[in-house]
Amino acid sequence: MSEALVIEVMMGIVFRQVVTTGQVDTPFLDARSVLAIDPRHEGLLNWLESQPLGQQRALQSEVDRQGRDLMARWPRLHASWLPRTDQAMRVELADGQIELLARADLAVGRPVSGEATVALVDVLAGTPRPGHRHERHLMALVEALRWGTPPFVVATYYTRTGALEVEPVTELMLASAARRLIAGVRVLRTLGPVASGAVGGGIRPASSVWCGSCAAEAFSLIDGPAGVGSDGDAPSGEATAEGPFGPARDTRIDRRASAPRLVTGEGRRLTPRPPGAPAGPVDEAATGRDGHPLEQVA
Amino acid sequence: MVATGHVAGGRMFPEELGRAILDPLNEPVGPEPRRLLVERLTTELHSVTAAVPGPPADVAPEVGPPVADTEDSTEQQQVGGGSIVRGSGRGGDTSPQPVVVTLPLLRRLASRPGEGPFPEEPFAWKPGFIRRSLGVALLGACRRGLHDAPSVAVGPVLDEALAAWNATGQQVYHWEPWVASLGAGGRAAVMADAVGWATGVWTALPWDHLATEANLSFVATDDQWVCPTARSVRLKARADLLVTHNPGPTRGAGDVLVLVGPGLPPGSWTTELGMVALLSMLSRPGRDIPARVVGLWPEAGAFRVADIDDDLLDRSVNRVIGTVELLRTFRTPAVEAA
Repeated sequence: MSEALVIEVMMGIVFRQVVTTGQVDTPFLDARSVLAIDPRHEGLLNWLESQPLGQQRALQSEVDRQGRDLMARWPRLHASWLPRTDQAMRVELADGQIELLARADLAVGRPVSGEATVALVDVLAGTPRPGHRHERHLMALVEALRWGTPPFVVATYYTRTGALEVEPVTELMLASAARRLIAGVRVLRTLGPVASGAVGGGIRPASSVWCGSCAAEAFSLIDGPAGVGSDGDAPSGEATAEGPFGPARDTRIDRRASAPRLVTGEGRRLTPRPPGAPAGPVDEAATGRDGHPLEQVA
Repeated sequence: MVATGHVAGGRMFPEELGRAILDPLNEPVGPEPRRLLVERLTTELHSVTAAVPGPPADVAPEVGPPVADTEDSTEQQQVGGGSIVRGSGRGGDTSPQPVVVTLPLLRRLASRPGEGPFPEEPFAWKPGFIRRSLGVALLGACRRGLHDAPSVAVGPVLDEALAAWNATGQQVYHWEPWVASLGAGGRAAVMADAVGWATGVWTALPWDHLATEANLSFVATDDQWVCPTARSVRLKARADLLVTHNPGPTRGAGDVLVLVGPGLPPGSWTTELGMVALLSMLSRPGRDIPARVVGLWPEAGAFRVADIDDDLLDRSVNRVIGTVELLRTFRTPAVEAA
């Protein structure tokens, strides 16, 4: 258990509250009250309460700060976007031998057969790391396998800084995620008895840019040395204050806009699109009960 | 869509789901097969549970806490009810506690037969227990045109439920006092869970199309049936939506039940959907058996269709009996001592 994990979990709760109700007055206290009613968080709550008072106050201060920033930055999403939080996505492969599970903190857009209409957002409280990019790529892959159609965009929002990393989903991204997945499954098969704990006491914690908390240094062998991502479209490596992919990707959510929209540093916008509307720029206010598919407008 | 015999499945897109629900229905299972099925079920359950005496025939088993969302994979309380235990009752009561056979229990024992039911835990409310009943209420409000989407319906629907409880003291949903006791954070968590559940269903079904071809009603309660010959055994299941086909020139009327499940469609989904039809039949003897049960698994984006016939009901009965038999092997030491 660590302060970072506590903040991560609490900000996930605060994010759900902001998206669902549009209001959070006491982020830390609200999140803490949710921990108390969800048995899954019992260990985390116990840890939190065991910390010295000064430490708890510091945590409260940070969660409150991030919560206030979130309220200031995050737009109220129009109902036609069909926002839903904490969305689990599951896919079964290889006759049930493999189950893929991903979870998006926010999904918007109605899934439509043969058309990319869904956007997924991962919300994190920590510092950007290369692994976050792979996590959202995996999220895109699982969603694509689930519906037969990929999301049109995946994003990571950092509550600590308000930065938003947005990536349009491409075939290259999905293929890369699939390669990583296959390689990962191969590694897990090799490690099988170890990974399950039947041999050697299970996977040991290891430092790895791919999986810093659980395992698999082996994963870092998959794509070669750090610094060369298998996608070939972006460098990997340690995160910097500017983010792992350079300052140009710095992004803010503009809450002042009259209609919900995500504005990126590169001038991309996510806007609602009414059903049947042609691809391309549309009036942001043109939303209907059944319309909502989002469109990334270059 | 993939069809195999009388079942089919596909992705949860409105066109596909609409077809699956509105396809012509088989004739409902007739009265004689129904009679034989009930007879076999009651006889075999009696036989399986004979070694463990139940409460007197005029005493119905105690009904457990009013938990609405029995399909949530995290709701172990519902699954934990499936044990044949004696001597754990109040005041030294040695009569067996009811065996509550639910879909999560069937699934648990099918996938991990060696582990038995989840351990019993004292009941405590949590947001996941509410998502389904509140979610169904959100769908109803949206369907009535009161709101455009679950995310905007959730505030008013929750407020209305709490106001009604405050005014009358009547608990329509059972969770009103608990939700009223929550602060802003807890209440938001409840709302978020329900919105997520309801939005998955709201976006999957072609509501207007369904409404022109059928009558839609949202189902808010569990179907329950207490075995008359083995009164410690109670079956419990529920669907979320009842679609009654309007009779047309090319088809007769009939009922389709739609239920929403957690996670992935289980390997044994046919008999699980069959059990939903079985429960509907047992708990409403005067009504036709649903001709079809459609299961939705939003996390997987998948649906499955089971057309209900004698064979499927028979297999579902076998599964229920097999589950109760298996539970006997998980008696607690208290039972053995007794």
